[in-house]
Amino acid sequence: MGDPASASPPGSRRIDLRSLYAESEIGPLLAELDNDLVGLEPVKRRIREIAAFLLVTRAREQLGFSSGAPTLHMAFTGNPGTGKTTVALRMAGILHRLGFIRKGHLVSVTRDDLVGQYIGHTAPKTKEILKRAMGGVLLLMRPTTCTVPRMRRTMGRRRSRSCCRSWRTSAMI
Amino acid sequence: MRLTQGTFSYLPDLTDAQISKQIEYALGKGWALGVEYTDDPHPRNTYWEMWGLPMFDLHDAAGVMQEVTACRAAHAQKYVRINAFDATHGWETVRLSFIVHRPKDEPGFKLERTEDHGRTIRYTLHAYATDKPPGRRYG
Repeated sequence: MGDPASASPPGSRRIDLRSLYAESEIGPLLAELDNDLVGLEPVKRRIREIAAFLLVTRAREQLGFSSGAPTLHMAFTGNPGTGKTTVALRMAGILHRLGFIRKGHLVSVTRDDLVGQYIGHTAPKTKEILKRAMGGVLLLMRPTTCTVPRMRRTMGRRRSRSCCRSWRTSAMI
Repeated sequence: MRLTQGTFSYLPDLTDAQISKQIEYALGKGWALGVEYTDDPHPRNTYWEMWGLPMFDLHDAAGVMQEVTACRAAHAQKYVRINAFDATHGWETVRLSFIVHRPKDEPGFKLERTEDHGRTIRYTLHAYATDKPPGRRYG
């Protein structure tokens, strides 16, 4: 991190994180998260941590420290019905408010949406989904089902490969 | 001669940022966007070749711009346009269509006059580019 005053970067000025926080309007979003979801204390804490980290990243950018876009891939694990999708939706809202994604919509997909029915079908199908998720968040439901050991050499593997290739460029930013 | 078909065709070529804004507008209206290309500039040539399928359910212009860039790279010497299709009931038609890429050199059209019965003159447009076979027009 580094103190902005002592580091004196180009265009050095003080930054008020509190006002930045108010400006980004994620406060109500986080409060909503606290009120709407019962329990999930560690999750809520983690989300607050991530939000704080992203806020500081924003502030650093404004000061001229270019650290590159943070890696924003996340894994939500848990039993069915424990709020993985709900939390992902809220996360999309937070990312949007902080300006890390342009639109803030959530595209939730499963294996069927990504893996094609015949060889050569998977790559364009995956590309289509990634295109739809641009500017928002792509939520991959049960990613473990995407590679089935029996057919590892064909469908699933291809999906993972083409997905990984464009992941960095398109999925999050 | 500069081809004037579709919206914005009398303006200077749109920059990528401006195209992006137009796509954002179309997406905001809930229209589906499609990219098409052709090397037959005749005004009655309404059905151009489709570059992939029309893109439904998109939220962000980046996805369309990616296709536009890919189509431009593959068909640098052809016309590329974006169509915005409105699927809502009562419209079900293209609401916005504009050219986003054109060949460097556009030779234009010849006006052909044909004498009909009673010295009537019938007029036809003939694009110089179509003298050459498809794929080899525009250099």
